[in-house]
Amino acid sequence: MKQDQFYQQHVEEWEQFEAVLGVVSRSGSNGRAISSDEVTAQADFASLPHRYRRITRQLAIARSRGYSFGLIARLETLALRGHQLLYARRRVMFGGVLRFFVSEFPSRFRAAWRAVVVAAFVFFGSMFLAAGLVAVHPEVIFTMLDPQSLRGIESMYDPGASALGRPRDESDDVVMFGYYIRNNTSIGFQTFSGGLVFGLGTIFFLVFNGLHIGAIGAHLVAHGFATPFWSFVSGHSSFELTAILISGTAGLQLGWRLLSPGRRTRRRALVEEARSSVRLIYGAGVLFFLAATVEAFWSSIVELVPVVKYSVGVAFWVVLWAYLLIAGRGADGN
Amino acid sequence: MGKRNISSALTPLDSIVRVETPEGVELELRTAGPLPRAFAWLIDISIRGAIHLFLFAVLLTLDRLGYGLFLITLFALEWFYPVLFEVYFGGATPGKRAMGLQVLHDDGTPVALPASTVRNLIRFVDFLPLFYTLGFFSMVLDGRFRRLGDLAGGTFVVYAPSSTPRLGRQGSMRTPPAVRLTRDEQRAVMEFAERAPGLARDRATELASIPTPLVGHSSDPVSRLYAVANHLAGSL
Repeated sequence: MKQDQFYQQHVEEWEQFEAVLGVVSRSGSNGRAISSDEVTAQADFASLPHRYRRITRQLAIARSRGYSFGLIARLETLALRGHQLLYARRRVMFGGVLRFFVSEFPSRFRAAWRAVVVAAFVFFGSMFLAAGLVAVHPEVIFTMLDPQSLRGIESMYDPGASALGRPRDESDDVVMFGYYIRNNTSIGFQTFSGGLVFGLGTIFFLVFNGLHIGAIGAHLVAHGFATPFWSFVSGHSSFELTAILISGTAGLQLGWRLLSPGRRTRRRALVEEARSSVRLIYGAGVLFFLAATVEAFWSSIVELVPVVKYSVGVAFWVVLWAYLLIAGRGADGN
Repeated sequence: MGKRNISSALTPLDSIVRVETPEGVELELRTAGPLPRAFAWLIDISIRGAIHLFLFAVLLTLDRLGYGLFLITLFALEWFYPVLFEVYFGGATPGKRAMGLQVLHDDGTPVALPASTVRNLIRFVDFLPLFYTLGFFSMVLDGRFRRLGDLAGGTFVVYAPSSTPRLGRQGSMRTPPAVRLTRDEQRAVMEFAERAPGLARDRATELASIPTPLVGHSSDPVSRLYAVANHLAGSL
């Protein structure tokens, strides 16, 4: 068949397909009401897969007959648009978000328990190592921090200060929230993406942050700032440390898949692992958000008796880990 | 994958990527290289900068509280701007849209939340040590211009399909070719007729006079070739 005959035979069908595509993608994107002249095209919703398969067949025929670039390009554009519409992943709706936090996220956390144990060992291990070192040899702290920033940190926890954490007045809570959310979340995201270097980046960030936190904590406790230090960190510690741990877990899983891809190419294994591990990061992001909120608006209050803050801190730890270990057990079939 | 490796040894160097659909046809996508993507990034960063500047001016009137809110929006824009646009606005941030680019999964479908989040989180690694050095090397070494975030997310950046190309038939003359033409040759002649109107007149003449067996030593080889194209396409 000559090209122009083919064209005459099918051009009407292509134009109809184009019209249906236009209506479907427009109404799909914002759910607005459809005007009357589009109703006819709307009636063709159900015919879309059928029409799309016809287009792909015509494209194959046109290619095998060696029709010209213009004709094939037109069919290709139609086929591509149809393909993208029909095979698009489903979008996340509110119900999906809810289900994610009620069951999927804690289930995924439990399923990754091996990586959780390794990440916890690396992170908390280096934290206790640094704390122990600084407790025994106080001068070790100067290998990690210069005296000036150390003095800055000490002044934050000065028992005479009006607020804990950073020098500030009350309206500064929001400022600190902004600072914490940016700073802490970035640490978590970096810990995750470091997994791309065969997990080495993740281990680096876990060790680095573990050493840092442990050393500063031990230093402050040894220098008589124990009460302000513990009463400041107890509230948000559960969320923040767990969020870092989860970011590390996800990063280690990425790294492990690169080392041990199984019966897949390394790249395929990485893509599949990343798309699933990143769901742990969604959860870690929310935990970082909670941590920043507690840190800025609760931990900084000095008027409360330390016992109250300790109790709340312990309660947060218990609730968070109960959630991670128990929530969604029915749903995932365990 | 294996199939692609064999064929890539035979096909010429090209930025076209073929994606096979479940219906068994191959769709051709044109991947975008570092330069247009760098421009898109520059546009995006300028837009974000402008938003920051605006917010800063407005929120400054709220004193310290405003500064706090500003820091929060700074964080939100940094991490959510690309993901939101890629997932909910047709796979393109405003910068990519301006450059005619689009992010797709490597099976050609529009990018969804997990893949988009991965590619934008790993942006951090791509940026290292400075100004996307790792990302740049990853892009130029990979056959599909993927930076590390794209490799991990299973995505690539392509030129969004442009408006429907038209079939141009030039003139009404129809002449059968003087010699027997292979299918590729027939196709080349038809494509010449589609593209020549976009060329300078001299260049079109120069190109049209190359297949001498078809056009002889005519003074107007372009029209001669148009006529052959019309015959081959079977113009009515």
